[in-house]
Parts: sequence; C-alpha cells; structure tokens
Amino acid sequence: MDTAPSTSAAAIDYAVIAVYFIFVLGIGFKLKKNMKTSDDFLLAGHRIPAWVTGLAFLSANLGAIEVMGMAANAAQYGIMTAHFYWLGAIPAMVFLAVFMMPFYYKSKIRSVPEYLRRRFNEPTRALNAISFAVMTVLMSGINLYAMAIVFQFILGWPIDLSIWLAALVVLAYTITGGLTSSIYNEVLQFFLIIFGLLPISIMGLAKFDGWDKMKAALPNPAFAHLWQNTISGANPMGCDLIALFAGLGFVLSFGYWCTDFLVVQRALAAKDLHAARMTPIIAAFPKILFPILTVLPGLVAVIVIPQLGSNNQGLSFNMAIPLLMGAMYPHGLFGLGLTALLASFMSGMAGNVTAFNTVWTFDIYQSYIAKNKSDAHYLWMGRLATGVGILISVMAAYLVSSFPSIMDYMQLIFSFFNAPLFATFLLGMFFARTTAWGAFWGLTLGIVGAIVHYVMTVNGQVHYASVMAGNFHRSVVAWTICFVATVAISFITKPKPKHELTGLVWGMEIEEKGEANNQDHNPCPAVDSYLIERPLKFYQKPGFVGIVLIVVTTYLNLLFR
Amino acid sequence: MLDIRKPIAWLHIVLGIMLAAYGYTGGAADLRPVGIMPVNVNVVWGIVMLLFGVIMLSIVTLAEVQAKIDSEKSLTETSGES
Repeated sequence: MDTAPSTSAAAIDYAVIAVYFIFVLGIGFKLKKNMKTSDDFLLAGHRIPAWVTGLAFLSANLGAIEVMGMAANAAQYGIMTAHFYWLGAIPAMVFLAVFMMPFYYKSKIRSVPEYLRRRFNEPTRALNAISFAVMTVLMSGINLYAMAIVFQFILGWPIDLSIWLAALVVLAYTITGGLTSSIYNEVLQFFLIIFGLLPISIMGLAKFDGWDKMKAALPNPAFAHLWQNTISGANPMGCDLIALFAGLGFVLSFGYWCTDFLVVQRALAAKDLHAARMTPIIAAFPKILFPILTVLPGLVAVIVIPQLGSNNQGLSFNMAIPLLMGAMYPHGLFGLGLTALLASFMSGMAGNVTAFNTVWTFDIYQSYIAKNKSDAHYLWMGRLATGVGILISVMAAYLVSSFPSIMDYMQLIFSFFNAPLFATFLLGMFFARTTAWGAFWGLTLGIVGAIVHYVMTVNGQVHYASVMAGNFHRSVVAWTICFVATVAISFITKPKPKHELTGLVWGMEIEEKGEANNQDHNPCPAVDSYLIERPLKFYQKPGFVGIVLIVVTTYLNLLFR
Repeated sequence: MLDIRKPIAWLHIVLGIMLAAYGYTGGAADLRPVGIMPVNVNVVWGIVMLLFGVIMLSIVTLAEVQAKIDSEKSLTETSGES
C-alpha cells in the first residue's frame, strides 16, 4: 500500500447507515410514551434486566475513546495496551460488583454525587457534581469530534456537517426516551459494533496465517509481550511495575469503573439488587475478549500501514481502525464498519449526556437552584438539560479540535478527577471514621496535587518515559495525596453520628428485619423487596463468578506474557 | 415496555439480507479485500448476521408465547375462582 487507502462510500454503504438510523430513532420514539416522571426519564425507573444493563454498561464505554483510542494505543505501544483490560478493567469491575454496588444500590441514591452528600456533606457533593458535569460534556465533545474527523477523512464529509448531524440524532433519541432509550440503543449498538469490527480481526489473522506468524511480522518484537521488561520499565510503554499496578491497575481503573457515574448509573437502573450487582459481572465476560476488537486491529495496522503515526493527520494512530476498514472491507461490509464506528461514537456521547442531565437536574438544579418543584418540572428540566448538554458537547467538540492529541488530553482529565475521587470513596465506604471535611479537603488537595504534578511534568521538573507513564504516575500521586490528607484531617475533625451512616458504610448495613429502622432521622426507613437479595445458588453469586473472571484474566496475562 | 431483543433481531435480519444480497449479486466487484480471503465476505458475513437475527427473534418470540400462555393460565384460574 503506497498511499492512504482511497475510500469512498457506495450507495449500499449509505443504505446500511440509513437503516441503522431508522432503528435508533424508532426506539427513541417507541419509548416516548413510557416517560412520565423524572425518574423514568433520568433513572429508567429501576425496570431493566441485568443482561441489558450489563451490555449497556459496556457499550457506554465503547465510545470513540475505546474503539479508536485503544487501537491507536496498540499501534503505538503494542499489546501492553491490553493491560487496560486484563490488569485494569476486569478486577475493577469485579470489585464494583462484589464490594461497592450494594452500597450504591441499597442507599437508593440517584447519582454518585448524591452518595457523597449522604456520606459526607454538601460541599463534597457540589465539588464532585460540578467537576463531573464539566468532565462529561468534555468527553461527549471528544466523541463528537473524533467522529467528525473520521467522517471527514474517510467520506470527505465537512466537519461541521458530521458534528451537527450526529448531535441531532443523539438529541432525538435521548430527549424522547431518556436513559431507557440511551441504554436500549447502547445494547443495540453493542451488537453492531461487534459485527462491524470483528471482520478486521478475522481478516487480519487470516492474512498472516495466525497469531504466531503475525507476531513475527511486528516491527518491534516487544509489541507481542505484556510483561517483558516491566521491572526495569524498558518496554514500549515505558512503564515500570509501579506505574502498571498502582497507576493503571489500581488507581485509574478502579477510579473509573467504581466511581464514574456514567458507569455506575447503568447498574443503578437495574431492576433489583442482584441485577445491579450482576451488571458489571455480566459486562466483564465480553470485556475480557475486547482486546480482540481493539488491540488486535491496532497491531494489524502497524504492519499493514507502515507509515501510520506520521504527522499527517489522516495517518495518525487514531485512524488505525478506519484506515484498515478502508483497506480491507468491500462495499457493503464497509458501510457496516462505518455504522459500527458511528454507533460507538453515539453510544459514548449519549452515555455522557444522560449522565450529565441526571447530575445537573438532581445534584445541581434541584439541590441549589430550584428546590421543591413538581416532578413534572424536573422532567422538563431533565429534557432541557439533555438539549443544553448536547449543545455544550458541540461547543466542546470545536474546543477539542484545537488540542493536538485527544487521548493524552483525556487521560489527563481522568488523572485529575477520577484518581483522587477513588481514595475518597474507598475511605468513605470502608472507614467509618472518615469525616465530611476530611473528604472535602482531601479531594480538593488531591485534584490540586494532580494539577501541580502536571505543571511540573510540562515544565520538565519531573520526567517520564512516555506520556502514558506520566499519567499513571500522576494518578498514583493524586490518589496518595487525597488518601493521606483525608485520613489526617479526619482525625482532627468531628465524625458523623453512627445512625447517619447506616447503609452507607461497610459493616453498618441496613437492618433487614426492619425493627431498627423506626427512628425518624433514619434516611432509609423501610427496606423494599427489590433491595433484598434472594437466596442464591453458589454459581449465581457475584463473588463466585468474580473469582472465575479473575482466574481467566490471570491465565491470559500468563499466556501473552 | 418494548423488548429490546426485537429491534436487535430485526436490525440484524435486515442488514444481513442487505449484505448477502449485495454480495451475491456481484455488487462487491471492487477488489478491496486484497485477496485475503477466498470467499465473498459480504455473503458470508451477511448470512452470519441474518442467523444471529433469526436466533434472537426466535428467542423473543418463544418468550412472548410463553408469557401469553402464563397470563391465560392465570386468567382462567382467577375466573374459575369467581
């Protein structure tokens, strides 16, 4: 291949895309009549079965960042990118299901910031709600921008057209059907993304006659190893064991999967406690195999498109998957591939927008701007926030277009906000002595610490082998500052009385018999039936399935070491 | 409420038929799958998608029939009591 593959779409490709749009919009309109209260619209009214929330849980993260970013990373750093799955995501998802989900679900919170208010105080919640709202619209803008870039280079569509068209479609189905529509479309998109991306991996392996021969064709033999030279840090990613285990494995992954409301919201929509706990577990099984869809194409791309990663924007690492589709797919399948990309952008964007409208409506608007309004008013506000959120996303998309690298920018935001937040949650859920002001100042100092560390990295006072290694180390620093500061300040401030912590802290569960719950000040007076876990067979228990997941993941780590 | 399995099934059936028909009628005459696979990719993948859609549709149809039988049963039981 001498130049970037010439790619134009045929009528059949557009027809495939059109059929997909019809289905997406149809689901939104079909669900419209079910949206009667703000709960229906923003929280999906606790009605959705576990397999649906499980796949939506995955698909909301299967946005531009996952599909294109992971392939780009694989083309840049090799198979070590799979650490995001086999060292980071899977253990974190098991931890969420086994230890944290019972607190989220049983305390009947509507959002992650709301948990912080109940466990700590208003300022902690406000800090988290505002930083989260800003973060989600920025992420949603990144999805929108990434999509516009792809459609510009592949189909020659003007950037403005792509941005506004995608924004309109997402608006149409989220404003009609709310979170339910977003979740349903995420499930639909999940299958499409698989059908659209899998042929790349199959064709890639077929082209090289299997993995062993493909390994030999890689430009850098270290690209085929997960753990080679990880003690010294002399590997393609430039990461030592501290960066991998503490940074990526522990702080960043647990921080993202266990505290990011975009993720947690999907599990909260489940119909009962067991379904909520099984949501991340069900999601983890396909997640184990996702490197086949994202990392493998990145590796194929380095071999097939040698000039990948050059300064030409059309040949940047981010374009690995679209370029491969252009090179390998015949018309028809090419349309399906584009649809898969489109679907992944839209599910990433809709996920962010539906998390944004909930946090805005409940944690900012209802809490600080207009208290005690009718439910119809909040439903109206939820719809308005959806529209405004999408509009800000569009603006964010134009803003992002002035940044040189999307992926670096994004990991940076995560290390600022999610890394310290995870320390706050660990202490809040498992250490009853943690006080409200300890949490607030710990979180603030953690965020400030991350920013200072970033400035020092930019100025060259601290040096790392790669941008990624810097992000991992920064998240460890931010987490440690938040952890230490929270504990220290907690010991000099007054803790909350015990009865206020019922159901929010490990070892202080709600009494299921109900007799201890008669006090007026108890925030959880009665225990609803959907909050009690029915007796389960051992193989239905999240803990057991979690152990199976960990064993399989360990095996894969050894297989590709 | 809408059973999401239905639209998923129909989308894959429609797209599967579109791909397979396009591939079969020689629409994919362009040589983009640079000789990697000795098969007509559109036809093969279209059939795979079609099969997936059909399986999904049969699962959801079976579930609906089962639910109908169950509700009729409970209906006759309650009418028997009154």
